[in-house]
Amino acid sequence: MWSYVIKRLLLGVVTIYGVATLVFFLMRIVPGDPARVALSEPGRDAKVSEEMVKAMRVKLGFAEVIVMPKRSVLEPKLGAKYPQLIEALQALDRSALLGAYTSGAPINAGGIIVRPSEIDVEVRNIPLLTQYIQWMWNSTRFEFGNSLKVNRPVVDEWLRYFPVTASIVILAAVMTVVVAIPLGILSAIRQDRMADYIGRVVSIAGLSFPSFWVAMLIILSLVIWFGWLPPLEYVPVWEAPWQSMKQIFFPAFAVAFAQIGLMARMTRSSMLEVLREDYIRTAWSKGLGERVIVLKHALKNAFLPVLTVFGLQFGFAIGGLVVVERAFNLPGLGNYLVDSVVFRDYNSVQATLFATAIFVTLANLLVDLAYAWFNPRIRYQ
Amino acid sequence: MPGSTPAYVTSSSFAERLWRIAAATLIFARRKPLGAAGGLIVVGMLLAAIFAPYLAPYPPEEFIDGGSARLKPPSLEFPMGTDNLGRDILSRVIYGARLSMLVGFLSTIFGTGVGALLALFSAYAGGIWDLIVQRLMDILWSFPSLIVAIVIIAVLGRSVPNLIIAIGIVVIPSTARVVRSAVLAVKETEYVQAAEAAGASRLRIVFQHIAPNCVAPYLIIATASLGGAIITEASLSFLGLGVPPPAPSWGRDLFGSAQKFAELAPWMPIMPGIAISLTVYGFNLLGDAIRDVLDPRLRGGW
Amino acid sequence: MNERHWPARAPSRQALLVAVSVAAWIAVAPVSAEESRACGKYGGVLTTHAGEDLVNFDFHQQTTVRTQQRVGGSYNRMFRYSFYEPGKVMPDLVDTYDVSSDGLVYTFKLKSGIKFHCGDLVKGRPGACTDLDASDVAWSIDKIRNKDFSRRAGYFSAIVKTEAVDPLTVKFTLKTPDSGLIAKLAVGWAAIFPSELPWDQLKDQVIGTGPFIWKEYVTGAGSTTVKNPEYFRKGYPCMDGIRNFVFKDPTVALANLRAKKLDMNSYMQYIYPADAKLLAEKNPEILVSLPSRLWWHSIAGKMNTKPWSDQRVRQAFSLAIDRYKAIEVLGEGVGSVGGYMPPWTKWSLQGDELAGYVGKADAATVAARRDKAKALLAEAGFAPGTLKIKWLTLDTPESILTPQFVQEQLRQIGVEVALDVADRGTFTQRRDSGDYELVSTSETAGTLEPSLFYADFYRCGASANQSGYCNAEFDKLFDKQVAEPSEDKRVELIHQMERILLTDLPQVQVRWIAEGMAWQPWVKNWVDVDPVYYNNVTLEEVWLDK
Repeated sequence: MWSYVIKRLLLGVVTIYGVATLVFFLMRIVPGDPARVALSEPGRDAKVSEEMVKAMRVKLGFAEVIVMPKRSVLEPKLGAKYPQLIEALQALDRSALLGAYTSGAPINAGGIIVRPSEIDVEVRNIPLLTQYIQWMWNSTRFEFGNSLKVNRPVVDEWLRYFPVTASIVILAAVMTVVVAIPLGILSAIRQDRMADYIGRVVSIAGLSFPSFWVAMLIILSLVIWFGWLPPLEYVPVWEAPWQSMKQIFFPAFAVAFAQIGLMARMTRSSMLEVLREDYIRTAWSKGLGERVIVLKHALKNAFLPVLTVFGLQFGFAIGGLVVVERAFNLPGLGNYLVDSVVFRDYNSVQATLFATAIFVTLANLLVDLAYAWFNPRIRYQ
Repeated sequence: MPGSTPAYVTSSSFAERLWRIAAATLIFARRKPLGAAGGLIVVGMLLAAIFAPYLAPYPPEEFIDGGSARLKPPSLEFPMGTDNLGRDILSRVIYGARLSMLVGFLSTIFGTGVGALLALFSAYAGGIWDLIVQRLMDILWSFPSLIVAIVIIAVLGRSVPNLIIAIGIVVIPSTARVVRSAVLAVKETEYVQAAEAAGASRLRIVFQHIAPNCVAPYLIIATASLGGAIITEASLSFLGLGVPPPAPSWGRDLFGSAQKFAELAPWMPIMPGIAISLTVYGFNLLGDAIRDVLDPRLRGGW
Repeated sequence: MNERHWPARAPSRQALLVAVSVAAWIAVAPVSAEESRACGKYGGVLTTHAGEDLVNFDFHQQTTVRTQQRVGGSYNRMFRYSFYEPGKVMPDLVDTYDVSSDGLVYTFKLKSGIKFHCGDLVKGRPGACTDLDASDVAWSIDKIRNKDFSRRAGYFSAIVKTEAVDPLTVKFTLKTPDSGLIAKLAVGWAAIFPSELPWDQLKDQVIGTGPFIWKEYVTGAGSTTVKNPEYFRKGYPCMDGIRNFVFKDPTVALANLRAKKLDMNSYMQYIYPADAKLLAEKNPEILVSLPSRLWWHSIAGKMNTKPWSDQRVRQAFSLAIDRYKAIEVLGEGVGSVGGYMPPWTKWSLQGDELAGYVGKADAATVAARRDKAKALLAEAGFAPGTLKIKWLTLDTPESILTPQFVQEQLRQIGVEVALDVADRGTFTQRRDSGDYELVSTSETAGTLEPSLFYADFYRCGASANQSGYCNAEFDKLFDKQVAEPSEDKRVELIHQMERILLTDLPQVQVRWIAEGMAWQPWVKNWVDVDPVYYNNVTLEEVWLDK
């Protein structure tokens, strides 16, 4: 058992680093320099000066500023203080240094004043490989840096957006379980009869409607016919439960809509598999008392495959979440991720996908472990 | 059952074969009415796509009356109303079927095809190949599918082929997983081991013995993915990543102006949405029924 | 200027133009005395919204007012526009000033006792709690003048030197007289920030002297500002703060406005015409104003590349567009047709002469112009169906509307336009590197000062000169009109410049935008003074009657 777990963990680690590498290179293949985007205002078309782009690249960490004092000018002037100057120059904040240099203002290096004409400043792009190694090292230490767009730590941004997404996901999951499982069970018990048909029609409908369209319809009907609106500010659920509920109920419903369909069908097929067995059939035909036992037994066995599929659907669920967040204008992780890609916020995208990969891998591992635990035949593969 | 040959392959005439297919279809329709309904919807959409120029009352890109015929509610003249640029929505919906069908089918074929082939070869080969491919699939799996599509489109640009690639890639890991378990199931059987012992080439074994066992699960996942592909296309268009205008696309027609004018002209977001939902519904019903037929574990009262 | 938003519906175009011309657009010249309206009540937080997140706080590096709309209330300028009447300029931080007789030296005396923001919210930030003095003014204006740190450098190209003579006196030395200098110092982004703040940190810091202290900005949620208790104008601001939300979806914003949860709509997300109609029917108590704005949409290409380099191609484009239809379809019937100067002002060419360049509404003229376009194209060597051109456009719904419309119009003369849709990152990359054939522009000017329209866009080497247009005769005329004191002569010079531009067509104008502002009846002392997004951002005299 343990060797299985360790093996899976190691493979998971490989996967996660694979994701990290893939994201890193993918983002850099996409055209669009983050520095330029940060300076951009599409709609009003003015060119950005290359100096501004360079300064922004320094600020964002993609380029470094190399300062070389003009020795022939400064050494005679400063004499013994010259080495002190070199040290002080290296210690200065890069962006400030570049800014002062470009604006022609005198630079204060640890008490020594130098004029821009007395130094050479060069902006050099940090090579890709260096950036990659830096990223691999940082991600291992869980240091994700600042968002390129808002210049605040990525982790802070996550903490801001995570509650929104989490509450929607949890509420959607609750809704799904509450509706889908009974639906699936009913469909299974009454297979190929009217209840089954209705159940299947409904659950497949849920799968077929694009979640953002459901969201649009909800908003349209609520706004037009009931004059309803979400509250202006997002409040976390532990602060103001009722107001929070008003905000996340409908988005959660839009997300759950598709998942209910899927889960109901999974429950149905899983239950059918269990109910097929002979001894179950026998017990079933014996009467009501037996039926209850059968149901409990069936549920227990049916549950696991459902859980597996549910966990595996996570990647697709995020897609639905993103469009619903967009449609309802909620400040959630999905919206944040899409915005980060559009704004070429490398740090945010890399960090968020890295975290997602960890999450998904762990979730998969847990599900597989649970499966193996309950199903000894797989354990010994 | 692996390796069984279909019953009607040899010696019957063409007409006999056609008759048998028709009969099988009718039996299918009676046994699985839901699936038949789905099939009808799919066929309807395909016909709309193929015969669009004959069915659509107006060219889908034309601004009727220079654009002055805009935001008109559904009427006899414009059964689904007009949009904010004065284009007839019914015509756009009919032509939109082309893009959705094209992208839906091609991306699914591409994605499931690649996934199936990858799994087929790597699972049979086993060892290091299996491990590598599995890791690659895991990595792909860990990416939220929408993000993958967004990045691909950002890199490659917006066009129909790129859309097909972006959507297709999303389906590869799940197909690979399904086909892989089918391959593993048959790999260790006596049948295959006997063939190996007899010295048959690996390629032959793969195609003659392993592949047929994978057809059923492949069909199941392929039909299941079709609907999802269409929804993914719509979602991408909703985020602005779809095919550039003025191409009629259901997803793109739900983007932007449809939202802006939703309250004044609710038919703008409703109509294309119905088209998408109906089509995906049809695919899902059909796929569901096919799955019921092909998956021996689920046969109820057959 | 973000070109996203839709004009509101107006009774009729005629009525609108009449109403607007009655508002008496005048060029800005002398500075008026300060007039102010009292606060009826104190307290309350104004809620408004914006459509997109801030990229950073440095409004000089943005060419739209997205940033300025939110941070503008935290700053003062040397001068400001009247909150109530269009075109009037009054002193803000300046107390008195005089100009040398040759118009080359401006000496400003600043008001004393003004402090930069103080208190816990800004503790430790560079420049906080310091006094406003001449060096701060010089520092700020120098940043705007530096083309590496500002996209507005062209506005102050006449200034060669700024000097802090003593703590309360600033001197500007110009190389040529600039009759619009005072007006330019009053625009929203000519804000004054502390000299202790390095220029590149303006992207992350908001420290000013303004009536509202910047509290925070949360991506996706919006900004919060808080009343400045030590604002130099005693008795102002009236309100306790401003809360500016981010609503990406304009439907949500409008719904919130109608449900009275928002006090005012966004300068950046005007009321759609359809929405104005809705408001008039369902929420008549909400006040809506709908003037034509100093904002236009046009098409730019690269003047040094075929086929755009051929003047006949550009003229064919201009002839093919039915501008009045554009206003109807894209502008919901509101907006104006004109050249490079706002058509409702005297600076623009008028009547039939203008119509000769931009067309008329009737179908016969439209058809005749299209025929002429086809002839020009044939002359240039393009038979119908042979000219294929790509148009780079951003992927937002608003950005894509004009290109779609023009694409269809050009199809009528046999030109095939393919829309090259790109997301923001790719779009900016390609636009800045010139990797496009055509690109749409949506541009604004801060005030009715004519030289502002030309300064950024059409002079040789100007910062926003997207097309690469360079005409020596035009530039000469520009310099002449800037220095010309007589207004009538100026008008004549500007008409000449208009004719040059309308023939050369560095950019093809599509339409002038009219859009609506809406606010609740309890928002007092707020008047829609165009361009309100530049000039009415401090909201210091606005009070809430609740």
